[in-house]
Amino acid sequence: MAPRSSVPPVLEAIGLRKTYGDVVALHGLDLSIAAGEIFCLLGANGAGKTTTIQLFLGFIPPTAGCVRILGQDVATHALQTKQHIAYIPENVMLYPNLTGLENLKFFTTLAGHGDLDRATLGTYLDRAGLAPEAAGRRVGTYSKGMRQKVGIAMAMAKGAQALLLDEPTSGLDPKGSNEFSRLLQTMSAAGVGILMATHDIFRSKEIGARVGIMKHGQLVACMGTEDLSHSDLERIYLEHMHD
Amino acid sequence: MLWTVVRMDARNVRAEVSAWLALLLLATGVTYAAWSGAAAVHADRQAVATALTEQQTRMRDLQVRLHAVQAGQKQATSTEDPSDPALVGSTLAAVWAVLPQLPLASVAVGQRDLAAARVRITTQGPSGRSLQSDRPMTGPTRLLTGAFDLAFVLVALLPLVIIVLTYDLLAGERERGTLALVLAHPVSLATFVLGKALQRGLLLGSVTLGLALLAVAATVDGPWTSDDAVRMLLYLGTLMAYVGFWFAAAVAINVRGQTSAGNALALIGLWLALVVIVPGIVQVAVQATHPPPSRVELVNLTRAAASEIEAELSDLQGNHGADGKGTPAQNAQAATERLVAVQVALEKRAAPVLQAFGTQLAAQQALVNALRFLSPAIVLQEALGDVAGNGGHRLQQFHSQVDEFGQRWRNFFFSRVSARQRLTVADYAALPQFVFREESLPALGTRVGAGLMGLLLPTLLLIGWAGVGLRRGVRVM
Repeated sequence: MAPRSSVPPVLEAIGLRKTYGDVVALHGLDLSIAAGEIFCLLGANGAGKTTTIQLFLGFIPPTAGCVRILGQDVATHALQTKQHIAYIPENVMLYPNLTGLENLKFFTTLAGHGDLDRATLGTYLDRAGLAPEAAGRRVGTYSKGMRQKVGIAMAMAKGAQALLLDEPTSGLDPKGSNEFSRLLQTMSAAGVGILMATHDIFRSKEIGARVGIMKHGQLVACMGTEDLSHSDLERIYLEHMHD
Repeated sequence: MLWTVVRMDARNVRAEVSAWLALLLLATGVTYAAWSGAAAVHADRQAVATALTEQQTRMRDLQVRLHAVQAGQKQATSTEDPSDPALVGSTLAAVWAVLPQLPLASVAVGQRDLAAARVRITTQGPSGRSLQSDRPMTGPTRLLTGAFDLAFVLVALLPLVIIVLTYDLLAGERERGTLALVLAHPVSLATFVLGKALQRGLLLGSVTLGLALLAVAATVDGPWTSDDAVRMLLYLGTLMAYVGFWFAAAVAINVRGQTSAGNALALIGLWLALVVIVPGIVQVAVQATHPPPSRVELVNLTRAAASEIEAELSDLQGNHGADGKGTPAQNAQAATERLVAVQVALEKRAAPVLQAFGTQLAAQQALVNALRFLSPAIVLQEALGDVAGNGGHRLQQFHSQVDEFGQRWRNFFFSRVSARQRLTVADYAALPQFVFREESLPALGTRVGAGLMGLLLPTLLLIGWAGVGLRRGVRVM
C-alpha cells in the first residue's frame, strides 16, 4: 500500500466488494494510488481487473466498500469525480464519422473545456503523437494506435488527475506500445495518478512504480518495481497463477 | 452539456446514410400522399361543381318554362310540367345536399370513399337519400389499403422512420464502445440520452412539421378562416404528440439495455401491435358489438319502394280518367295525391330501418371514440379525420342534416300537393336550400383535445418508465 499522507490519494478503494449473484468478482479490495504514481494491475482474465476499473468509473455500483477519487466518493459524487479522471480502454472507440479533432472537441466539451480552440486541441493531439495531417481525417480511417493517441490527447486536454487504463497496449505493435508507455510516463511526471490493468509483465515493470497481482477478485500481491527484475516479476506472477 | 450532446449527435446523424434514406422515404411518402389526397379532393370538388352547375341550369330552365307556360306560350306536358309540385319535387327540381370540403380535406380523405359527401334530394324513396358514393373504390388494391393520403403516411409510415432513427439510440453507443468513453466524462446518462433523443426528435419533428405544412399549403383550397387555423393547430399539435409518443417508446426500449437488433425488433413489434393489430381488433370489436347496419337491406328497401312508387305511378297514369268519374284534370290530381300518400306510407315503413341504421352508426362511432385510446394510431387517424372534415362524426352530422332537409323538401312539395296548389315563380325562389351547419369549434376541440390527452398520457408513462431505467443505470460495456 502507498504511505498515508494528508493529501488524499488520487485513486482509492476501501474494502471494495462486487458480487454478481453468487459470483464474487471483487473480494474486499484495498488500494491507494498517489499523484504521479503508475500502478499496474496484473492478473488472468476474469481476475477482477476490469471490474475494479468499472467501479472507479462508477459504471457499476459496489456491493460493499467504497471508491474514492481525490477523496470524493464515486457513489455520491459521480459527476464531480469524473471531472478528474480519464479512461482509456483496450480499444478507444471514437465516433467514426467525426475527425480526430472533432472527437477531441466533443469529449473535451463534455469534460467542461468547451472553450479550447482548434489550435490548442491540435497541440494536444500533436503532443499525444498523432500526425497533424491525421487530425483532420475521419476517425473511421484510424488505426488502433492512432485512436489510443486521441484517447491520451483527451486525458491531457481534460487535465485529468487520474488515468484509468484497461489493457491499453493490447494489440499495439512494439513501437506503438513503447510510444504509449512514454506518454504515460510523461503524464505521470506531470502528477497524474495512473491505474493500468494489463497482461504485459514487461511493460508493468518498465513503467509501473508498483505492481499488484489479482486473482479471483483478490489482490494477492503488491510490490514496488524498483528492486525487481523482469524475470523476478514474471516468476512471482506465475507462482501466484500456479498455486 | 445537453446542447453539446445535441450538436455532436447532429453531426453523427448527418453522416448516417440510413438516416438520410429514412427522411427521403418520409419526404417521398408525404409528397405522394399530398398529391394523392389533393387529387381526390380535386375530383370531389369537380364532381360537386359539375353537379351544382347542372342543377343551376336545370332550375333556370324550369323557371323559364314556367314563365312560358303561365304566359300561354307553351303547353306543359304531364312529364315536364314545371308547376306540378309532385313532379318537380320528385324529379325535375331534385337538388344536391353537399358536405362542404374544408381547406384541410386532403389531409385525410379516407371516409369519403365509403360515405357519400353529396346526396341527391327528391321527394321519392326513403328519406330521398342516395346511398351511392360519388367516388367508388378504385380496384382491389385500394380496397385493401384504403386511401394513400397524408393521414396514412403520418399514422403508419412516420413511426417506422422514427424507429430507423432511434432503435440504436443508446444500444448503438454501447455496441460501438463510445458509451463507456462518454460516461467516463462528467455527463449523466439521462442528459446523454435526452440530448440524443432531443436532437433526433427536433430533426424529425421539424422535417415532419415542415412537410406536413408544405403538403397542406400545396393542396389547400378554398377560403381560410380562423376556425381553419384552429383546426391546423389541432392537426399539428396531435401530430407532434404522436411523434413524441414514438420517441418516448424508443427511449424507454433503449434504456432496457437490449442490443440494437433487440430494440429494433421490440419497436417493430410495438408498431405492428399499435398500428396494425389493435386497430384491427378495435374494428372487429366494433363490428361484433354493433353489427353494421345492412346497407343491402336499405338499398333493397329503397329499390322496392321506388318500384312500388313506379308501379303505383304507372297504374295511376294508366287508369286516371278511365273510371270516368271525373275530368282528366281531377283524375290526375287524385292520382298525384294517392302517389304522395303511397310515398308517405313507404317512408313510414322505411323509418325504423333508417333509424336503426343511424343508431348503429352512431353506436359504432361512439365505441371507436372510446376504444381509440388503445392505440395512438387510432387517436391520430381519428384526429386527422376530424380536422380534415372527413371524419365519421362530421359525416354523421351531414347525413342527419340531410335527413332533416329531405323532410323539409317533402313537406314543401307535399303541402302544395295536398292543398292542390300549382307552383309559381315565387315558390321556386322559396325552395328549401341545404346549408350544412358545422360542428362548433369547442366541440371539435374537446374531441380532438381528448385524443391529444390520450397521446400525452402514454407518452408521459413511457418517459417515467425510461426515467426509472435511467436512474437504475444501464449496462455500459
